Amino acid sequence: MKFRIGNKLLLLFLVVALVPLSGVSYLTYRDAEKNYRKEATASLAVIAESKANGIKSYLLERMKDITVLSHTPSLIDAMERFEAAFDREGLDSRRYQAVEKEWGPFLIQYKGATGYQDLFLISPEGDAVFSVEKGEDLGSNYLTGPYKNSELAEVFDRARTLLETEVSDFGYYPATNEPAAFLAAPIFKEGHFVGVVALQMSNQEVYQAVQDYSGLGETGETIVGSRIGNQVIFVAPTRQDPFSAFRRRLVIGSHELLPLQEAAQGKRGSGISIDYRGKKVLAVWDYLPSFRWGIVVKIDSAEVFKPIAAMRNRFVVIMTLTTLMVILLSLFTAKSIAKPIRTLQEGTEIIAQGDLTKQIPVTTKDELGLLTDAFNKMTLNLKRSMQDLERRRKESEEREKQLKETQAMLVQAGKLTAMGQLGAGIAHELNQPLTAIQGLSQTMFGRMKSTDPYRQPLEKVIEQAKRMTKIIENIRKFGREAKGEVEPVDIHQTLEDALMLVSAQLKHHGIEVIKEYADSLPSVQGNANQLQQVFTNLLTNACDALDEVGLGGRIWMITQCRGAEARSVEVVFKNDGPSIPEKDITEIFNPFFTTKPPGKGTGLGLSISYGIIRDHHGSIEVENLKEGGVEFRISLPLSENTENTASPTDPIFAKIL
Amino acid sequence: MIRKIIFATIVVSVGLSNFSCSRGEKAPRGEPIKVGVLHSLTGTMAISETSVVDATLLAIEELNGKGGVLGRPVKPIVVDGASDWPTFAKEAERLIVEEKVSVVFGCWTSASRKTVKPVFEKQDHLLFYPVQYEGLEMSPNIIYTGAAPNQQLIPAVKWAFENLGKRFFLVASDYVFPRSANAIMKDQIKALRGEILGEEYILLGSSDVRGVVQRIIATQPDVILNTINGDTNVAFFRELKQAGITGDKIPTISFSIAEDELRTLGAKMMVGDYAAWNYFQSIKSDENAGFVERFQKKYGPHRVTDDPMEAAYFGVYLWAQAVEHAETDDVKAVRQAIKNQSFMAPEGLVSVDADNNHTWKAVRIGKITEKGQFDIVWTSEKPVRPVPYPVYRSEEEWHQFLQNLYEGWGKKWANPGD
Repeated sequence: MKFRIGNKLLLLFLVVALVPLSGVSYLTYRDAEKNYRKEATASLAVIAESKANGIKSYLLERMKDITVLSHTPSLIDAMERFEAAFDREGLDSRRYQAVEKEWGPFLIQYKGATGYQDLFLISPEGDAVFSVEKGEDLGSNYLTGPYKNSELAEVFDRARTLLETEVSDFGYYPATNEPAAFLAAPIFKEGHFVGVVALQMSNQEVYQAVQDYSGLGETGETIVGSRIGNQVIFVAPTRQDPFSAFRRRLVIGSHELLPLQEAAQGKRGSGISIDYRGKKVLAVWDYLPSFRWGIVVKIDSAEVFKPIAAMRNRFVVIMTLTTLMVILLSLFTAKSIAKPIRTLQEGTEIIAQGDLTKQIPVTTKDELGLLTDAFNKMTLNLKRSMQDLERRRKESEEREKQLKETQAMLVQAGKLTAMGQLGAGIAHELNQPLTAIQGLSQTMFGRMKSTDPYRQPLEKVIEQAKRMTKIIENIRKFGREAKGEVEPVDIHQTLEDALMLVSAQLKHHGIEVIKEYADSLPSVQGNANQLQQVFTNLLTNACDALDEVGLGGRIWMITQCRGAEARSVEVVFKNDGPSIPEKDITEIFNPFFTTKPPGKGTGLGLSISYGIIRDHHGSIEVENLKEGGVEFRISLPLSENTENTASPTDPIFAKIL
Repeated sequence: MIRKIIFATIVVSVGLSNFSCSRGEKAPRGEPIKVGVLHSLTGTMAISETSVVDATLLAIEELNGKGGVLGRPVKPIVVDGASDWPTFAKEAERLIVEEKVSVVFGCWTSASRKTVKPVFEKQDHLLFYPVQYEGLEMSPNIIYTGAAPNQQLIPAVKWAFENLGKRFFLVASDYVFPRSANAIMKDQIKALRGEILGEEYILLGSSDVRGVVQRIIATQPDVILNTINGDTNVAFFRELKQAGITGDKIPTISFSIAEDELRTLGAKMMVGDYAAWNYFQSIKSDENAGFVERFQKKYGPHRVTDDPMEAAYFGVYLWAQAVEHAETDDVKAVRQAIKNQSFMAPEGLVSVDADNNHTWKAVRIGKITEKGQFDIVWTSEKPVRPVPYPVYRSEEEWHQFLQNLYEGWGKKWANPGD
């Protein structure tokens, strides 16, 4: 799956680059090849035509020669004489020799001057009555003798039959054992046919035209062939095979050198073919009726198309190089695109797993770089959002907790208020019976004798009733939505009042109270009742605490001025009872917090006290002492110092108070 | 996306290959090449010339079937010379100037040819003339696909000398061809030391043959050399055969009677007589077998082929080759390209001689059979070089001879009669 983009790009580049390139190259090459071939063929055709024309003109010239010769009076006479001499007395006769002496030189000279191989005089009956070369056929009869099938015999017959100058085919002339062709012309005297003059043509002149290789490069040649039956016989030596004359032959219908087969059968043409060496050649072929020759002018394809082959090779090289380049380029480009994508992809996966801290490195400056950058920003934002979310969640939790606390506190406050009101209600309800009890008790006490044994208990009853009244009074104060009258309060007095309430209890528990009052204590602006409540509460608590560890114990009550220029008053309640457990010490001022078993304590005392002190703009602290024991420190500011503490008009605490 | 590219590439390559593909074997398309066919469809020569038209049209049809010439269809425009020479000239002019034909295939009688020759020379156009004739002519604007005298008359006389006898009687129609032919043959007979026992001329179209036949009977030649043309031949042979001069008694060598005329004459009475041509239907070759088969397929199994028909047929093919070679149907270019064209015709290999616009053809002598065909009794085998001007007289002498005939007939090429 790696580099799938790479594959696409590779394919795309290859198609886009190579298809047009190969298309154009191929078309250009093909067009060039076609044009080149056309031109090469045309030049070859020109050569072929010039050779054919050359051969034809040569022949026509020769025919003109002999026709003129046949009209020459000397020749006509010579013919007559030779024929007569041969006929009457034969070759060896004196008469013949005389004729020869008279007419011979002219004929010999003619032959010599014109370059023919031989000159013959043949009688109308076919006798060879004269020959310059005096070959074997001299004296023979061409119609009946040993040479009757030779080309000379045939051309003689045609000349005398058609009464025209005739040309024979090129063929092997047995008398000279060489390829030769003959011209024959009828001789007329006064409108009568008297014989035939024949000339043997030198094959050299004809061959010369064939063997002229100018314009045919290194491998070009001219092939001339004659159709005999179903074969074509090479008539002239070829460049590639000097011995081919009259030896090499093709069978018509075979696959060899088709152009020559075609040409020998009269067709002209041009094109690419395979020659007798098995090589590819460009050929132009034609038919020469004069000799009934097929002529093929050909040149090796390799030679002709060398420049084209070079061009083709160049194209191939260019194509190969381009292909390589394209492949490399596409691979490189693909990589440069795919790599950042991959990095991005991997990074994304990591982030998807949850690691929002991962920042993907930006390695390129292109769109992918921008994308990576944007992605990173997105991740960061995501992280921040998550963090934000977390924070808000916590905040929300906090608030919920606070809400719950507030709720709780409100509930408590409600409870307290309810309780206060309940208390106030009960107190109110109890007031009356209590008054009755007090009154009746007092009355009873007044009527009692001092020796009455029930006087002491009744005294206690009255005392207790008074106490109850005070308690009810306190409870009622608790329930009252009083603003709290503020007046200068004598702390010492308040302390004594509180102590009095608790003294019986203290005595009962065997607790010793040690007072360490300051010499002079300024009065504190506040509510005496409330303060008394606080002191009572603390004493009660201390009593309860000491009670837990058995009989005995000591409580200190200490007052002193505090701060320079006597800013505040400090009241300390110390006991040598057990320490408050660490876990509770922070909560003891909380409402409804109590360490006592259920039913024994409300948990309200300290919280009320806390509230009262706060209303007085003071502070209350608790501390476990190192030497054992617990210390409560109350600090109350003097009348002028009212800063940094809750004011009595605080809505939450207003109800409590 | 890739798929689109591949598809586009395929479409483009296919388009390119079609565009660059060479023209293959398809039906001929494009502007037709118009060719004129000018023969006597009516009148005394119709008997011979209508068949030539048939052969010409067959060749054209075959060309079109092979994809036309230069890929274009060949369209023949057939016109009637009506056996009237001035009509021939007029029609020739019309074909060239109005119809703008690329070539004309036509004429039979030398009179018609001599009358149209000035037209073709003036217009510098091209005529293919398919009938054996007297020669003595050479025009750069005419290609002669029929025999010159040395390709028919002269070999026939020589053959007659060797096979039939030395005493000749010449019968002829009275127009330029037979007059010239007889002049040539008389020269030859004299050269070979033969005898001429009579030389009679009958006006074209006339059936006044009785006198001639009687003279033949009177002189008893070895051979009758017949250059009568047209339906006069019918009258002559009827008269001759009725008089008992059959082929075995006194053979006639005719130079204007071929297979087609035998149909009209009736082969039976002609058995044993001879004709000299370059082509006979009985030639045994693949090309001829195909030609005869195709001709009979188109025109009917009882039709025959003969020398002028075959000459007209291969004339069309030679022309087509020249056009392909010249790569244009322009007359001048074709005239240049026609030189040296060769073709394997039903009669054998024929080549146009570049020097005289005549055709190299083989020579044959045939003996008439009962079936109206010819047994070939002699053939020259190899094609014979055409020599329009026989050597006995010079060109000037021949021209003078012709001129005398022309003037004598009141500037006409046939004896107008009295």
